[in-house]
Order: sequence, then C-alpha cells, then structure tokens
Amino acid sequence: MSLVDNSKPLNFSFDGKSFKGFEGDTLASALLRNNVRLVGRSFKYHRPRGIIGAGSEEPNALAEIHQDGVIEPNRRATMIKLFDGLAVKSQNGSPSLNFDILAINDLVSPFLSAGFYYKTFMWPRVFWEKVYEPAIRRAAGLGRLSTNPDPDSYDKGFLHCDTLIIGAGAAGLQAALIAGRAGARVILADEDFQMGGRLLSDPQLIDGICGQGWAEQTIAELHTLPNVRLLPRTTVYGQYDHGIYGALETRTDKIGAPGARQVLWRIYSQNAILAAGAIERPIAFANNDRPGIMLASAMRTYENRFGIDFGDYPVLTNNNSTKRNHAASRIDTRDAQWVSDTRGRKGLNSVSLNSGQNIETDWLGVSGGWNPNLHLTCHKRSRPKWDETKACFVPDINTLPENMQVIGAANGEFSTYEAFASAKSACASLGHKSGKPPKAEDTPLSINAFWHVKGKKRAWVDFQNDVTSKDITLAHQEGFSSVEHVKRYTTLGMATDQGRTSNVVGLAILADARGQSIPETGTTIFRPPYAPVPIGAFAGPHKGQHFKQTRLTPSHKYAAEQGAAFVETGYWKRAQWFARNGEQGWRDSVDREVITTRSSVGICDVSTLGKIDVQGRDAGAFLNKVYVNSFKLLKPGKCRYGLMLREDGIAMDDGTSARFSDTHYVMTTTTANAGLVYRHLEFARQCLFPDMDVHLISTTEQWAQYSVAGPNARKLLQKIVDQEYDISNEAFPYMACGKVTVCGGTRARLFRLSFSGELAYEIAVPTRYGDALIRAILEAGEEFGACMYGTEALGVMRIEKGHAAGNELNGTTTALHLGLGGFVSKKKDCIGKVLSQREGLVAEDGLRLVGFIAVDSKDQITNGAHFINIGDPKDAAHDQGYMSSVAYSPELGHYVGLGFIKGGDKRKGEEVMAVDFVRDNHINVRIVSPHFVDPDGDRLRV
Amino acid sequence: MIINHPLFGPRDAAEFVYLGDASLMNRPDPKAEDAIQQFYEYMYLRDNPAGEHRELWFHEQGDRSWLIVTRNTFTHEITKVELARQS
Amino acid sequence: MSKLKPNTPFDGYAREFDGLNISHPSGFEIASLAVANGEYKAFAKSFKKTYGNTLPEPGTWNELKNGKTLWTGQNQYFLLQYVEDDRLDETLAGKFDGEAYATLQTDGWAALDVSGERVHEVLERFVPLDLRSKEVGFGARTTAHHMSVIVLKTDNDAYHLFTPASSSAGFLDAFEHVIGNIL
Repeated sequence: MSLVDNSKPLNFSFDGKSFKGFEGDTLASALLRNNVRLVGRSFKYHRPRGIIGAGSEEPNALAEIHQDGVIEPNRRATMIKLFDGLAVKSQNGSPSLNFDILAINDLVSPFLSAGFYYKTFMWPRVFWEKVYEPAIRRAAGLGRLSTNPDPDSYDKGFLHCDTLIIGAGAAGLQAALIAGRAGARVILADEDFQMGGRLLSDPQLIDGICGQGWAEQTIAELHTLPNVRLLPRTTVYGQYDHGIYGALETRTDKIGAPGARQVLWRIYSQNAILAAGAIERPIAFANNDRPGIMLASAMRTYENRFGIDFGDYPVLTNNNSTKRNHAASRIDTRDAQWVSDTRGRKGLNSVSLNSGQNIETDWLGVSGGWNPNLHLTCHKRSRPKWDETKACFVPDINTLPENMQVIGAANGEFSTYEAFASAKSACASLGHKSGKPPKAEDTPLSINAFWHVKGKKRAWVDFQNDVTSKDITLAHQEGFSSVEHVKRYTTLGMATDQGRTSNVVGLAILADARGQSIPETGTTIFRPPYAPVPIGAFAGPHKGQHFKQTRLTPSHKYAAEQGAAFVETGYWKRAQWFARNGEQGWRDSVDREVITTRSSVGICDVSTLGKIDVQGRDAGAFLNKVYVNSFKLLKPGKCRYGLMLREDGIAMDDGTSARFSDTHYVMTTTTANAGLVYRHLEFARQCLFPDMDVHLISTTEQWAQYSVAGPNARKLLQKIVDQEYDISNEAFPYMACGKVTVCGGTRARLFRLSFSGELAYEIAVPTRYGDALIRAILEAGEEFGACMYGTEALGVMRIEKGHAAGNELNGTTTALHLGLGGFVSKKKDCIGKVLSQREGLVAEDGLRLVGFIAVDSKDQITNGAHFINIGDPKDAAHDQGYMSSVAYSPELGHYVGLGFIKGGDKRKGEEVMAVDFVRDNHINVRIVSPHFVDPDGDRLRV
Repeated sequence: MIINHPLFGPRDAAEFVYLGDASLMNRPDPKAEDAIQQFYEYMYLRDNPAGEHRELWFHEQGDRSWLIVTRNTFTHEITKVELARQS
Repeated sequence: MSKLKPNTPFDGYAREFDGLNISHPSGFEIASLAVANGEYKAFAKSFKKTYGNTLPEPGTWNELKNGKTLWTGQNQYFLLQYVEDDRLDETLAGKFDGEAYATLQTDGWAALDVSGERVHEVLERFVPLDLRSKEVGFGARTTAHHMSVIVLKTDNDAYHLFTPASSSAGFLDAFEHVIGNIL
C-alpha cells in the first residue's frame, strides 16, 4: 500500500509550472503522479528523457533546485524528498525542455559517435579558442551554477560502533535486529529517507504480515534499543583503511534552511555488513530511451510505495523478478521475444516486437537482470567475480576486505528468505546468535543472459553520457578493446551515475564483440565515493573565517583599539603597523615607528615567537646537540643567540636561549617555525638522545612578551619594573636575563635582547596580565613619546642591522652562507655539523650574505633581484646570487638590502647589477657590510 | 588510518605527523672516519619496500610521543606500534 | 598590591541550551610536571604524600586534594590546583626538587565546562574520540576541528575542555556554531 500521506499535500514547481505532491513523495514520484514524463534532455544528443529508476541509480532525471538565487544542479529527482515550496528546473534543454534547439545533435549523431572529439574540431586552428571552445562549453555539461555563495551550513562528525550495517532492506534490518538485541553497538545506514529497501515496493508476506508492516515494526523496535543508531538518508560512500568509513547524511534538500544541510560522518567500526541490495539493469534495444520506458522494479516501487497507477502496461524481461509487476503483457526473452523498436519522441506511445506485433502503450517496464551493489567491497581492491547462473558479478569472498561481510541481494542472494538467512549467519560469525529466520518467499532468480538486441538503429547503454551499443562496438573496432580503454574512449560509466545501470550491459556487449566471455573481458572496479559528495560537505564547517584557526596575541585588543593593520603570520594575526591620523600610506606609519623607536622608545608584541621550556640535568648538553654554538657553559642569568641546523647542514631556525638555573633554560624560536622546532627537539630527545635527562614543553601561549627598544627603553622600564630590581647597565648588562616583578608585584621575566639594534629589553608576564601590561607600558611611555610598532617596523630595523630572518633562513642556506661560519663550534658535534661540511656547501666562492645599496641613492632596490656582474649577459648562466631582504631606512634616507652573492665576503666595495625582470627594474648596486645602522653595536651596550 | 598507540589505544592518524623511515633513529657516529659518507646514506638513501615498512610518526595532537609504526605499504595494515623511547 | 588586573579568555562565559550547559570554570592554576630520569618512584611517593592520590595511568585523570591531575605524556603530568598562586611552578620546583621539573601552564589554556543530556551529540561533531564509551576518569589530548583540545570526562554527561588560549575565541565560535546546527 502507498506510504505517501495524502492528508499532507505539498506544493512544488517544475520548469515554472505548479504541481501538488504529498509528504513521503520524492520529486520523481510527484512528477509521475502528475503525469510529467519528460524531465530532461540527454547529454550529447539532447533527446527527450524521462525517469527510469526510483533510487540513486537514476541516470536521466537530473534537475536543478532553485532557491533565493542559488542553484543546486545535477540533483536526481529520485533522491529529492519533496518539501513545500520546492522549485525545480530541468537541465540541458536549450532554450527549454520542450523545445530544444540542440536536439539537432541527434540528427548529426553519426558525427558524434564514440571518440568524436579526438577526430574533429581540428581545422582551422584559429577556430579552437574562438569558435569551438565556446560552442562546446555552451553545449556541454548538464546543470548550471548560480555562482552565488552557498548559503548552507555543513558539518562533519565522528561515530563509533561495533558493527556498521550498510543498507536497511530485508537483510540489513534483520542483521541490525539480531546484533542490536545482542547488545552490540550498531549503526544502520540507508540512503533512503524511509528504511525498508525493496520491502516497501515488492508486495510479500513475512511471518504472515505484509513486508511494509514487517519493516515498520522492525524499525520501531530498533528505535527502542539505545545501542542502535539509525541513520536514514545517509549514504556510506567509501571504505578506507582500518575500519574507517565515510558517510554523507542529508538532513534536508531545502537550500538555506537552518542547521547543517548535510553532515559528513567518519565512522569507525570493527565490523561491517554490506546489505546494499542489488540494482536492476535494463536491456539495450532500438530507441530504448524514450520517456515512459522504466526499470520494471522502479515501476513496482512507484505503484506500491507511492501509489501511482500506470494502468496496463507491457514488461520486457529476461528473468522472473518481474512476476510481481501488474503487467498487462510479458515480453519474455526466455520465450525468444523482445522489443525491436519504439515510437513517441517526447514520450513513448507504442512498441513493436520481434514477432511483428505492435503494442500501444505509454509505459514499458524493462528488466535485464540484477547487479549486486558491491561497490564498497572494491574500495580496498577486491575484484568481483562473475556468476554465470545468475548472470551478474558477485563479491569474491576470498578477497573481501577484512571484517566485511556481504549479505542479501548484494551477495547475489536474491530471495527474501535468503536475505534473512545470510543476516543470521553473518551475525552468528560475530558472536550474535538468533533463532530461525522469519518465514518469507524463497524463489531463486531464474534468468537468461539477454543483453541487447542487435540492429541498425541506436540502442542506448549509458543513458547519462549518451553511449550506445554501436559506440562500444566501434571502440572495439578502432582498437580500444580493453575494458579500461572502452570506458574512457566511449565515456561509458563515467557520468555521475558511474554506470550503475550501464556498466554490465556495456561489458557484455564488449565481450560479444571480442568473442569472449564476460570474465575473460574483465571489469572495471570502483573507487570512492559511491555517490557524488558535494565539496561543501568535505569542507564541513571549515569555510570563511573557520577555514583555519586564528591565533590572537595578548595585546590584540589594545592593538585593534589603536587602529592597527593586521597581517596573517601563519595562524597568528600580528599588528603590521599602527596608522595615525594624517598618515597617507603604510610607509608614513612604518617610517614614523622606526624613527620613534630609534630616537626614543618603541614597543612591539613578540609573544608569537615560539617559547620552549627546557629543563633537566642534561638540558645544557641537549642544547649543545641542537645548536651549532655552545650553551652548556652559559651562566644562569644570561641569554645567548643560537643557530639550529637540519641534519643535512642547512640552517633551520634561530633564536635565543636564556638560562635561569643549572637545569632550566627557555628557548625562543621564530614565529613560523615554533611547531617545527618543537617537533625536531622532541625527535632529538626521544629518538636520538634518549638517555639524556631533558624535558620539553611549549610555553608560547603561557607568556605575553613585549619588546621595549630605543635610547629611552631603560628609563621607561624603570617605571614598570619594581624598584627592588636593579636594571642599570652594570647590574643588567647586554644579554642578561632574570626574574623580576612589575607594577607592584606581578611576576615577570626580563631579557636584555635586541633585534632592532637599539638598547632593548623583552619583558614577559603570564598571559593573563598581557593586556594590562601593554596598557601600563604605553602609559608609562607617554612622557617619552613612546609608540607601538608592528611587524613592518620590526622588519625594517632588523634589516638595517643585518640580522638574518626567515628570508635568509630560507631552507637553502647554511651557517657559512649566512656569515655565521665562525659561530659553529669546532669543539662539539651538533645536528647538521657533519653534512654542513660537504664539498658543495663549503666552496670558497659560495654564496655569502652581505649588504647592498644602490649606487644612485635615489634608486629603489627590489627584493628578489638577481645579481649579475657588470658587463655580463643578464641570464641564468651568469647568476651571481639574489637579494633576500629590502627596506627603506629612514635613518639613512635610502633603501638598503641584504642578499647572497658568490664570494660576497671578499667583494666589499664592488659594484654589480641587480636585475629584476618581474618589475622591470635593473640598477647598479654596491656590495657593503650588512650592518647599516650602528655597525659597531654601541647602542646595544649603553 | 588508525594508529594503535601502545599506551592508550587507537587514534585517528590526523593526530599524527609523519617523518619517515625508522632508520632515522640510527644516527651515525659523527667521529667516524667516513662520517660524511655515513651521514649522506643516513639522510638520503632509502629502501622503498612494497611491503613491511618501519616508520616514524609524531603524536603532535596527543601525547607528543614519537612512535615506530610497522606498516605494510601495499595493504596498509599496521602490525606493530612501539614507543621510540620507553620511559 | 599589583596594579595589573588579570583577564582570561571565556571570563564569565555561561550559556544554557536545551540539554546542554556551558560555563567557564575558574579559580585554579595548571602546571606541568616532568619526572626526572630515574626518579619516578621517588616522585610518585612524594606526589601521593602531597596530594593524596596516585599518579594517573595513560589516558586518565585522578581526583586530588584540591584539584586534579592528568597524564599528558610519558613521565609528564598536568597538575590542576584550586589555589591563587601564579608562581605555582616555583612552588612545585621547591616541593619536588630533583624529582620533577615544573612549568606554569595556566595561561596557555582556556577552560570550558560542558554538560547535559545532549553533550555527546555536540561533541561527536567536534572531537574524533569515542567519548560515549569512555568511563568517568578518562582524559586525553586530541583534535577539535583544526585545533587542539584536552578532554576530561568528569561525569557521564559532563566534561572539562581545555583549548590553547590564543585560538580560544575561534574554538568557542566553532563550538557555538556546532550547537546552533543541532539544538
């Protein structure tokens, strides 16, 4: 009986015309109830097409859902659950479904056969981009996109169970019942919004009650079991390694509805039972694609589940599953009968048989046999095997993925009783016993392998990609004879339906052409996803500002109040500069910040730099292993700059490490490499030097850290650091560190470090005080005209000082290249030391980091420019090196650059060309010391 | 992919970062006569088996331990998971 | 008296939904304790004497006098204490000198308490662990979307969640977004 609720009517529109359906309808069933047979135009030939199936195997009835300017294309009408207000448009009809100009393709079809695009559109050449491509783009494709942003929300989630049951037909429901009653954690998933599979469509008795009733009562019991989770409208689309499955749950078809429209689940399951049923396949015969020609099982679904009356209609069949159709007449290939042609362009009106008889009819049911839905067994490379008696592929029990069992029609067990019996044995092998299976029909499938009717007229195999039986034999004739070649040459099975109704028929036709059996011809196997999954579902909630995490610094609120421009540094948002009223562009702000810092005092948030707490009896020895220079003998109360190499000798990161006690160091890293360095250190600790007593933990987030730099830095800090701590030059010299208190007793750490080259300190407090401290510092700094400075000014100042940073530690340079060769201790091993001595890395005339200024001080130096000796051709063969960092120096009044040039340390004073093809800027530059401002470092030590 | 952590059971591979062949644990002696040659082989030469492979994974989003995973590169089956450093 | 007022992410945050409660627990400090090589026995003894319970096994947390302790790695534990002491690490360094090394961690983590009959429906869209099947006393660090999270199961339907402080605003946003999709 119909499962549709006639008391709940729903309004919908199709191509602008209004219709009524009911709660429980799909769009397809509602269209059929309203006698709409023409629903689309085929891909290549633009032939009128109708609904063929009732499930996700539907190849023809693809439509667009329209809502508020958003279009969702290529939706199967059979999979859209009808809702009030649904607006749908057909696809591929130009200008309309009824009147399609491109149906002219049908008339020129001999030129559009398999592989036509390899043989046409070649001449004249000028037509490729101007004529052919635009025309093909207009004609090709099915649905359209609106290009409006997707208003829908998607979610992702994680589910765990003992047994995942895929498919809620007779077999799946029974397995869920047995396992659920036994107390196992079960997830039962089915792609339909109503569970029950073919029990909803094929009238039969189970234990004396009707199939629909048995399904209903079973589902009701499953709902009462707390260890069973039912997931309707959920397609398990892929099996991955180690018992991980991907599933897509659809909550609504309505666009822009509240809540997540779809949820992508990752399911972790010890065991899986595949009970996905079987899909009926058609038979290929002349003009077998007219609207009104449907799969016989689909007609039963529309009759029995959706209550649609087709009247009397004939059925073409090669097997006994069609016994249940209300067929007026049976055209049975087992009795040597078949359909030789059909008529009715926009909808079937008659068929002719090989006997010469003509039957007038609006509908024709077709059944060419059944294909077990074994897609998921192939995802881990199991190959199905051919069953001659059943004329179909079945799963190969010997190569099934571990912990997966297949039951019911998916395993070629086509009767309802067999489905129940295999559910019982599958559950038994998982330790869940059960009594006798319910009483149900037990008729085996009786079939003769009849695939196609040979003849002159075109017979369709793949409806969605418009592939005919002629295309397949043509491919074979042209030498594309292997099943993989035929697939790609004809595009058979490559559409969004992935050949569900066409692969096996096509394979049989190919086998015929080759004069071989089907097993000899082979088969293509399946990869995830089983059905299309929207990209939005894979993205889940990770779009827009949720695409990646955003990390904010302790002074972020304050910086935002000050109108800072922010830059993304990895996940962090850092203040780039702080624009003030009247400043025109970023240079105004950055120049001012640099000038203020170098003439008075500036403050910068450096909390983002990695901080790693290193503690243990062997902490110093450990640092000696990871840094090129020595840290073991560093005195407590002191900091030291350190350079870290990769084991291949290339510089990896630099920073400073401060020693607070015999067993306690605090290491800093660059912002970008914090995570990488931590990973590297843990590798060294656990894998290379496991006997050392050394322990690591990240404290990047624990401490808010601010740099206070400039001639007035000490004076400012003396207003912040509590009086009992002497931070005079004598008591707290350059590179000292210590524990202090600030602002009346808050614990803090003070480091006398300078990245800017000025008298400078870094002051750190637990992050909870970070906001309060930055405000206190700026308030104390008012009398000095103190300002905040951002990453740009930070960059300008370090370039002026010649400090290497990320641009120089770029993954290709060594300590020697960086001018730090002498920094590498000769007395000890460290990671990277041995391979840094490789011939190619220690060449005398290798790259060396030096400074550059324009010969004409008015010229702008550009970053990335390459150096060419004056007089040489400007080409790669004469490349001498490259500019790595450039800044305008407000102190000097011109641009300064850092770069690598061959033998640069011995070429000071020399002029070379800086060649920049990207910006078309070639100028002469002079090689100088990289230390432009305060080269003797006097300011550091005042 | 799931990695069965020896201390607290199975975890999704998304919590881990892959480094490479477990031979990376055998750092050559830097004082050896042919140290450069040994280090070169250590860093750059690898067997590439279609079959069992011992490899290093870092549990970055978990307990920060380094693990040695024995994984079949062909079937993806993981047969053993050991701590790189037993405490 | 320090002039610097502290503030923390999630200060004062509290929301009630149908079947889910979220609040911001406060008044505690967190420190990491790393056991010195060869000192496990000695440290375990000192620890039990001080806090009244043993060190937890991997994947679990233990109730303590005035707080909790969580296993975070081999020979590494988080100690949570309801004290006002932003120098907890120094206090612990003194207490366990030679046996374990202490580092302050309070400011690095933002804390949320979540509970209610629908807590698992929300958490299953966030965290890959099989939380429903875990016992009270389970504790672990894992991922939550692209971020890190430490999860402690404190009751059948209740959890402490800790996430790194700098990305905590995004964490809360993502969490509320998931709730919005379900409740």
